[in-house]
Amino acid sequence: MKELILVLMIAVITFVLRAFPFLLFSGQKELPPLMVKLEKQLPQAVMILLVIYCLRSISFVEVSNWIPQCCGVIVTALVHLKQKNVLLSILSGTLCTMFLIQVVF
Amino acid sequence: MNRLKKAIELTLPVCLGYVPLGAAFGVLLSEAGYGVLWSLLSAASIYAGSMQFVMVALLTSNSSLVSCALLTFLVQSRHMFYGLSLINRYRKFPLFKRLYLIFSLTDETYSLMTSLKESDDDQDDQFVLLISFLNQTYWVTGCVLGGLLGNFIPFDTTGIDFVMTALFVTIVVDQYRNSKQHFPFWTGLMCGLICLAVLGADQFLLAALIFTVVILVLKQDERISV
Repeated sequence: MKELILVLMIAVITFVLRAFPFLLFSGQKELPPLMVKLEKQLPQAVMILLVIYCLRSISFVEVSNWIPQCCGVIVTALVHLKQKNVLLSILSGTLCTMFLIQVVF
Repeated sequence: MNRLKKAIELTLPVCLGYVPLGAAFGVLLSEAGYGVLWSLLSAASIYAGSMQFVMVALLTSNSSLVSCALLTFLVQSRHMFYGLSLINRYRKFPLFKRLYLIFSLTDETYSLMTSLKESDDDQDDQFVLLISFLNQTYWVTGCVLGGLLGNFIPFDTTGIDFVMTALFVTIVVDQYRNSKQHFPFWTGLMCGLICLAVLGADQFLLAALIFTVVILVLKQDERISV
């Protein structure tokens, strides 16, 4: 039950955010300065926080625990810097991580 | 039918991105113990890539609904700004169709919509609806395929949940590359690491998000303070 509420809650919040400019700014062209600033800056900060969130439970005590994930991040970032192809970057980083977890460690 | 053909051509890149990524989501969700109906429900009602991946993590964590709501709000806050450039374009649609167009405004749909030229017959109403609908069809197809296949993958999938981390890493790289200002990146990174060290894995995110927003709001822009 809690799961269903969670899914629907995420759906409602997402829809309200998408509808927000149509509800509030349909009459005017200019945005308040604070909104302009957050529009530019917030996504960058939130995304790096999500990366940390994904990696939150790795422990540095055991090598087998953090090496695969860290290598995966580095490979994903490097491939993406070179190729700019999202699917290719995700695929190479994930395969690298899976290989290290399953075969090496 | 010429219109359909043109819309499929235009949305083909989105299809190539949505189907595999949706499938990865479906597989991940079924690995977490939620079957294909949950994939279908998420893709049909939420329809937002990165948030659905975060949702998998939330489903398997013990976070309270309040902190889930705040997290959703912050992850999705970029959507608050997409509609701004489409207000006039969407005004002419009847309410029900307009609501669907707003609901289906994902990152990719937004970038296609803003790339349509004002002068073209691209502006034809049915065409705009068709693009939105096709994109969601791709996404739902991918998520459902992943949900169906999730239990029948013939190889060891340990570590496959890294797709979510990898997706976010690519977004971070793109944002960092496309922005001249990197202060928000470093703010998020430092707040995240410090809160993680102090509060631990289960508690850090909410505090880190709040600190980050407060710092970004309080910080004066250089050109204003100079």
